[in-house]
Amino acid sequence: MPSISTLAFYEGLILMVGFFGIVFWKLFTGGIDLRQLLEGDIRDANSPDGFSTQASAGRVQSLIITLFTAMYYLLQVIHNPKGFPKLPNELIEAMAGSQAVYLGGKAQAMLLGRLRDLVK
Amino acid sequence: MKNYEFYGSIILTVLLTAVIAFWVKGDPATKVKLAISYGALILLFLFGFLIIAAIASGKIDISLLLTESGGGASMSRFQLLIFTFVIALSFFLIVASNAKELPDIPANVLALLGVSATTYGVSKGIQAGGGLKPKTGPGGNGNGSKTTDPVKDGQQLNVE
Repeated sequence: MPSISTLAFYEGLILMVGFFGIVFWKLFTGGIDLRQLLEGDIRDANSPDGFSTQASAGRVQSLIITLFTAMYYLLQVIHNPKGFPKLPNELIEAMAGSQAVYLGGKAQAMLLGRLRDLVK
Repeated sequence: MKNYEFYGSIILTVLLTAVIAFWVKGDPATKVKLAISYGALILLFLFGFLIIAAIASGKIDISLLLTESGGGASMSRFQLLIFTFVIALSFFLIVASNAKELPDIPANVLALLGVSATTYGVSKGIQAGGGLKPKTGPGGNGNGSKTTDPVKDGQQLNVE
């Protein structure tokens, strides 16, 4: 009979791999909808429902920073799995700045609309 | 509600726990401790496995996991999902390699999760403040459910 810690390890591994595997499988096969991930709604007086969709630079930079931070962190843990690695403060600040830019752009698009329409 | 998998898991756990309690050698206190420990582990695993199986078979629908209320995928939800996966996987790897104690979580990791969760919350607030009506997606009615009931879908019935 396996020891409790061995059993717990393999159970945890199976559940984690299973859960992450299903979510990623659904992401890649379209089971979880990723359409318009890089597009944002913007207030538009000419559209019937008052909003239209356009490509969002804020979303693109947020995606790049998010993936970079996630990969950096995961590689640090895989390289030395003895404890949680400390992230550089600069990376946290870059992440916070990136999210602020994304949210600022979203707030402007959703609440005010295009800047060129505002200055007309 | 008939949920045979749930009851099956509990019965299987009780049987395995009884087998451990009766067949493992040792004094009664150790037997009880081992039986409860193994029983709890097996039950947790079976419950987790039930959820994974339900997601895989579509019984639990996660197709709108990343969809925001106005339609389309949400970047804030996506990055919260990524960071949750990364931190969970890191936690598992660290606990597996240092089984004696739970690791301390540094403040900057909490800050990272805080930034991510705050972004999600503020994004929801902006979305609600913008007043964008939910859009009808493929197979959905825009509010996350996939009903075909016209009353539930907000359509009017023509009764003549």
